[in-house]
Amino acid sequence: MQPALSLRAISMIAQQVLNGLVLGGVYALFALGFTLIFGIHRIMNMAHGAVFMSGAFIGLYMVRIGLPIWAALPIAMFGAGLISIFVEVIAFKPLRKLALADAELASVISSIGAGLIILSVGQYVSKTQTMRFPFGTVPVDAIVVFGLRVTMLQLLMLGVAVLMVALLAYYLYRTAQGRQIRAVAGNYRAAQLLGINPNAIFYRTFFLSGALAGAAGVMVGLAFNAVQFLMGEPFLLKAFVAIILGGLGSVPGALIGGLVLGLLQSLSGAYLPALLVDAVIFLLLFVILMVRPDGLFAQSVTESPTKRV
Amino acid sequence: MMSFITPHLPLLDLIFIGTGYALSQAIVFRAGTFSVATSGFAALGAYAAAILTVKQGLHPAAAVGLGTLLGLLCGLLLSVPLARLRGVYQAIASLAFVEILVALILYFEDLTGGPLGFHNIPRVVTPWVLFLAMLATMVLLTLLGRGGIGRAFDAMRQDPAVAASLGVNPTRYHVLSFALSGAIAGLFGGLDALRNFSLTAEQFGFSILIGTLSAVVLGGRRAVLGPLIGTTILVLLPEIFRPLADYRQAVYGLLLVVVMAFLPFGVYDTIVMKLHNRKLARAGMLAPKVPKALA
Amino acid sequence: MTSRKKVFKALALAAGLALASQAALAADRKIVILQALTGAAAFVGVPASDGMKFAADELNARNFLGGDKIVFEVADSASARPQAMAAVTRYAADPSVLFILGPTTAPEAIPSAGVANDAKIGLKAMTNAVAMLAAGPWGFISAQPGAVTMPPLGDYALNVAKVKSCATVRFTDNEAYVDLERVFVEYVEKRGMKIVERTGIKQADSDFSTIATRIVAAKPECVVLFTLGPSAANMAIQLKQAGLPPSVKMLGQSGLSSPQLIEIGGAAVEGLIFGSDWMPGGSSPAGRAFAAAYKAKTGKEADNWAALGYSYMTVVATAIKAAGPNPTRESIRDALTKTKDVPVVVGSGKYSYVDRIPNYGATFLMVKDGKFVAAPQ
Repeated sequence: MQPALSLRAISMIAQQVLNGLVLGGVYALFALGFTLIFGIHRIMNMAHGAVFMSGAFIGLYMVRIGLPIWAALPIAMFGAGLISIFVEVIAFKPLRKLALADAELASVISSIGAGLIILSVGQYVSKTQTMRFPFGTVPVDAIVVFGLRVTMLQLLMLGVAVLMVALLAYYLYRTAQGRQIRAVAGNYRAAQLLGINPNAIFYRTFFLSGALAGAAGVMVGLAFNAVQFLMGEPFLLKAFVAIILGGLGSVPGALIGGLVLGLLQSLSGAYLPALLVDAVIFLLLFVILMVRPDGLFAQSVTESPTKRV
Repeated sequence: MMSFITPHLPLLDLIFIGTGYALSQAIVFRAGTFSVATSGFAALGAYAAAILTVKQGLHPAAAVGLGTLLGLLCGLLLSVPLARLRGVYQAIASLAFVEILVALILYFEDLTGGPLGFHNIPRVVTPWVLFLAMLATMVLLTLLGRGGIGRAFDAMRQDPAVAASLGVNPTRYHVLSFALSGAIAGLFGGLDALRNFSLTAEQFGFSILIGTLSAVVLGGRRAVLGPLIGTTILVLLPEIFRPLADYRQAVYGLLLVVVMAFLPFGVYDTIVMKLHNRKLARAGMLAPKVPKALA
Repeated sequence: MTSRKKVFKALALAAGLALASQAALAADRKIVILQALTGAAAFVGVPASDGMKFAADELNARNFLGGDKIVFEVADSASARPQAMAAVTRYAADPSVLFILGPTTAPEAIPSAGVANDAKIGLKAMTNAVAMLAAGPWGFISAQPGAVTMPPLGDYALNVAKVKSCATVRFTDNEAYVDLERVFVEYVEKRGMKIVERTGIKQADSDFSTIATRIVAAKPECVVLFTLGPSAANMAIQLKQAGLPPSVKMLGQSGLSSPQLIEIGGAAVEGLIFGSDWMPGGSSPAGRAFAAAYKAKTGKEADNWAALGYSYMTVVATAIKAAGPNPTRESIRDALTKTKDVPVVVGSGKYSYVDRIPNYGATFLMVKDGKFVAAPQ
């Protein structure tokens, strides 16, 4: 009697699971950046994809002028953090001054606009071409662990994801600044009463969010070797699955959501026709929104943000 | 005269069809729903009209009619799940809907041509047809808007609780807004297909969404003229200032940011509001200045 | 005025008129070069338009059209359908434009053919997508479709590379490559080769990890790439990263023929063999002369696309010449349809249209030590 799953099939599944986890790590970084802003400020930053792209661009240019990847990455993260602050200043700050009846809609649209501006700077700088990392930026070797092939690049991506999450957790839960951010979480009156400058909170959180997105951008740029000005938008759309699944505003949620998304994309890509993978992912998003829009780790807020009155 | 117009016909096409899509988008915004499903409805209408005309040999008018109906039905369908969500969650859900639709269109290759697109659609639609369709839609929406439906939409947008207490059945008007939105998008999608020789699923993705959103934001979502003005500005600006054409995205982005900050109701609606306020002020009817914006 | 002055003036006027009419007799033949100068297909469109411009200048310099000159205007389709279609509409409305060379890719060209047939202007696109011809007699493809180029590739795989099983990768959203892959698979399966895996990617895709793993797991003896150069290079890298053994042969078609294949692919594309239109440096005296002159004038090496652009402009100019002293859009279209054995620098050196299908042969290249060389026969 034939075994239900041949050794070759198991090995391929295991390989695809590894691919999925690596991809998931990157999605998690990206989702973390987005959910951080939402958790603290209750804003949806639709320019997040563009910031992600900027990180990839900066990383690429640093490597091109001769820096090794381990130097290019922090520079890219720093640059992406600054660009994220730029988004805050032009898209969100002006709206806070106006007491708008529908501030949610306005800030989403405004951030879409900011994202488009960053996109076209990217388009101009890259002359609309797709750019590639020079061959050999990351050594092309691989190690074999329990029959699984793990490339240097995959190790790098996993390592960066784990490191970033650890650093973020340390910052948020172990430092004074982090405590401030968590305490304030949207209550700016309280912040001012406590003598905390709300603007500083905004700059810090947007910087962090941008740095995370930038790291994700460099990783994705390396992994798929295609850096182009439109790379952020499809990524943002897919990342919504991770963000919503985990629960808007939840840090552990973004992590879990990211990993689940990565696994889903990898495994369905292995067994379904390529054209159905997107349908599956977005169908999942739709179903989650219908069934449990607050996600797995809903943030406890006084009023659920999802139910219509 | 013709030799002046002919090279620029593609621009008129863009304005007429673009306004149709923008009107579809504006209706749901006016009724207080943050849905961006217009491009999905348009894709349905376009592919339906194209497939029925080319593969089934249906008369183009019938095909476009069926496409419109398909858009309407889909709008009705989508209104149900979206009613249970609020704000940006509606936006994400409608975005997911569009992406699912695009992915399915790509998958059913035998029917739609898949990633290769659907080609050699006869060009039976003339600019006149587009113009008349746009005009008819605007007239219909103006008539509806002046009456109870328009007031109900405005009430729902501003304060759903108050609207309900005033006897406005939110569900009924919510569903109606989606049905209208779907029908209009389906109509113009079908006309688009029968005008431009071929279709690809990607054309109903991100860029049309941004363009339609920008047009409504720029022009205004309440008055029927708003989408027309917004679309016209967006189409003509890159033509008048040639260098801008290369930076189309940047211009759209800048417009979105600036308009949100300074003219959050859009160009036309703001003008209407200012004129209206001036009239009220002259009649001594204006209350002391309130920070919250008026409808 | 004295009578002498009057005579002088009359003579001067007459001379002036004669000169003016002489200049008017030397007509400008206006061709629009509509290529993707920006956007995803720019790496084809830019060198192609450079090759076309170079050809036009060279033809004018040796008075190819007698006293008439080829005048060209360059327009950018931005690799986008609406821009390409709008450009065709705009130029068709200009009665001085006789012909449009372009657009670049199948997705732009197929609907543009519809516009061209509507507006009754000739359009010769870079692509080989036969679907473009369905819109009417005014649209022309320039590159050879699969039915012409795939049998030689299939023969190479079966008889020279001697592989018994293959995996294929194709662009799913470009008619041309879908066609090539389909014809290849039909051809080799009939002759006993096993196709173990047929995968598809989109032109803008870059995440191939899942597909690469699938292909490696299927253990093919060769992988055939029906994509453009950059995607193929990327795929090769990801295949090697997924563990594709070095003994597996990699094959491809003329879409791979660009320097970017090597720039991006590096060591991952060593040994890749593909059918190409152009042999870098030229494979005939005319080709070598073109390569040298092009390098001298532009400072760049002529690549596949520049050589093709150069050849296509020559073909169109030949049609204009054949259309006689007063070429119209119709007569140019008819002359182009009857193109036979026009000397070109690609393939076997002679370009013909047979039932509107281009025929000009091919040559096989291999990547060796980071350069393109002739493949072992």
